[in-house]
Amino acid sequence: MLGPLDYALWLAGFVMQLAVVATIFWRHAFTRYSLIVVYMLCAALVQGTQFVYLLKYGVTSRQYYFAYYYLENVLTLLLFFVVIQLCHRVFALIGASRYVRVAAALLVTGTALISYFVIRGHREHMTKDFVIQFGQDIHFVGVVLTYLLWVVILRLRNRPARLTQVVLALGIYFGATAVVYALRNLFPALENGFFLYGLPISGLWLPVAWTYTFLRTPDGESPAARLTPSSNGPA
Amino acid sequence: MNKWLAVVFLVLLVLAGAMGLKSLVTHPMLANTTSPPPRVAVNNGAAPPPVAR
Repeated sequence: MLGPLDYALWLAGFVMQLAVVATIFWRHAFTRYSLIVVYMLCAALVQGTQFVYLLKYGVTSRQYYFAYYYLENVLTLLLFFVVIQLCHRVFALIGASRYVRVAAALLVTGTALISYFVIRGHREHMTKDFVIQFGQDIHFVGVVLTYLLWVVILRLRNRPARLTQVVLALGIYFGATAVVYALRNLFPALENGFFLYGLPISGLWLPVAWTYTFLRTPDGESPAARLTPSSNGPA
Repeated sequence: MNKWLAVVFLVLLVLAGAMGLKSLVTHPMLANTTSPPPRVAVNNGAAPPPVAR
């Protein structure tokens, strides 16, 4: 049975996802962060669908279990396309060649596609062990990709504040979620205690952090920031 | 603020990596490898008689 805290977390997540979309439009940043808008709208849709399943079938039902983990994993793959867009922006700022950008996009797309086929292959028998192990692995891949992206950002002399914050917030989300899955994997006995709230809280982090970023942090992508990697001059 | 975010991110990166390695090591596929058969005892003679109590 769900308590008021569960409903509060669900509602806060839903509202904050829509708040990210609203702030991006308000700051006229849609063209730069269009895939974040698409992701957040899909996340809100997924959360709505999960809530319908919850009301219709109950929290302990097989239907809700399947809808929750299947949609969560597909949503995580969608987040990889946000990483591609961020890669594209960052590589454009350091003046990387078109081939590097295409290679980065292919790497992330390949990871997402392989992961999708793994999920698809297991959709008839999504056991608990599979969803926990897969959740841990896919989020860890996300952490590594975000880390690589951040390392490239560190090479910029004039780091764009908003882009840096967007990438770091994403990295923290991937990292925290991977840790939550890993803890569930390592300590299955504690799953129904503290860890039950781990995923909703880490899921709430991303829209909250991104809303703050788009609301308060200036863009900072001045023309001077382009083509000025720190290796070409003093930091 | 970005400095704090970077610190948290790095801590989580290390934690996630360490836990990933830990769960990899304890994964059934790796943990349940067949152990080598016990060595044949050097003394294959008769077992000692039970101790009278």
